Amino acid sequence: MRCTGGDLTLDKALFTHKTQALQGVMYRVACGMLKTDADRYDAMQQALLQAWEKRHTLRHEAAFDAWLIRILINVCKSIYRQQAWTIPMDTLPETPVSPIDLSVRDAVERLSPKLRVCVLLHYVEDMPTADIAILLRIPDSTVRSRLANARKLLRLELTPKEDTP
Amino acid sequence: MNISDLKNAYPPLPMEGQARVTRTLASLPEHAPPRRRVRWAVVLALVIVLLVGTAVALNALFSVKDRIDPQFVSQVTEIGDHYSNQWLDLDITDAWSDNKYLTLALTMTHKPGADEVYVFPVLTARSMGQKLDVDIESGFELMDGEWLPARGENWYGPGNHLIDAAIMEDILPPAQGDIEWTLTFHVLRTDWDIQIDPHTSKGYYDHTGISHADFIKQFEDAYRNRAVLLTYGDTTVEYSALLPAPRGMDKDAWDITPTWERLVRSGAFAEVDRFSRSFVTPYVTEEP
Repeated sequence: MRCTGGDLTLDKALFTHKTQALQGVMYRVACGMLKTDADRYDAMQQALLQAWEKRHTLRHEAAFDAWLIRILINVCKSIYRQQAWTIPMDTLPETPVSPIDLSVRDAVERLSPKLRVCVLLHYVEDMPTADIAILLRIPDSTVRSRLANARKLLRLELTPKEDTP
Repeated sequence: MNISDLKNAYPPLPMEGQARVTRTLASLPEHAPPRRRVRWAVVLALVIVLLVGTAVALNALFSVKDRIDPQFVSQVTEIGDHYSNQWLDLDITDAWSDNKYLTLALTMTHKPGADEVYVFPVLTARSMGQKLDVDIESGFELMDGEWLPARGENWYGPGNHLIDAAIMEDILPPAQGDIEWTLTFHVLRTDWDIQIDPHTSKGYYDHTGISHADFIKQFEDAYRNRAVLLTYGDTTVEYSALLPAPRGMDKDAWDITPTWERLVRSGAFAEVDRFSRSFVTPYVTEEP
């Protein structure tokens, strides 16, 4: 079955194909916003369900990636907000994942969400600043300034550890 | 730290996550999505309903209650504020706040026959006499400036807007009591030629055929030629960011000047009206 939305035809097979290609990016964006894998998987699942339900609003296939990541960011914010009522985030155990450099991740996760998302999308996902600007609906200059601030903070965060023998 | 450190710090999606994605995709229902185009018969029926019962229409005001988790509905503050001037009608329906976040529903519509205006709401908040640091989280289609009549589509239906805001607590202290929220609306007009940037007019940034430097230059050229160049068909986010600082003004100060003020001080727009509406959300001490 094919369903049309605007000038885009997005059926389940195409949706599945595009989503599977993006699942790694989605996971890493969720890593930047939520603390446990359980929450990250919940966020990804909710985002996929919302995206499928709202697929008629997507008019251009070229915008699919940004559109889906935008939905995911909103879902992550919503989950984070709900948790503010329940369990303090700091008390949740970090899901152990290896082999990775947790000191780097710790430093990134101490950034504010605004800086963190820019860092993940640009440096981890290699997304151009102009595309991040579109995704987050902020000027390109703001993205670049957030990246500059994040770079400064990350250097500050990591310098003492790097100096430790 | 270098970039490869960062890349290595973020792992690929674990098998468990991949399985979850696969299961979710397999479970997607096959039913057709809602149609974008409404049948004429439906439009006619809606017009009749509006004409017959104003009360029905009033009860159907856009509300946060339909947009938040049901467990939080009991915490919603009814506002029911109406404002009107020669260009627009504004209804602020209701809001939900937990002392840290705000979700607000409002409807702003253009008065038929009135001139085109460009409206910028600015949200501020105070608690116990102290200013709070408000950060807009969503609702940018309104908070980044809304044309009346609307030039773009609206997710929640014509004129309806849902705004999410957060109280940032790293610079100013958090709310200690009830919060008084104030929306100040800056109503702008322009006599300049309004142009649409072709590289974003389809709803996404199409890089093909233009370098980033040329993309930037076209906004500067538009300003020199007394034109306003809109991106994505309806926004001045890029145009206003690239406006030159007024003579004698420090660039850093210009960079943090609000968008509406940049547009006015550049001479591209004039502020023709300004009005404020306030409401209070109670301090929440218990979970719903």
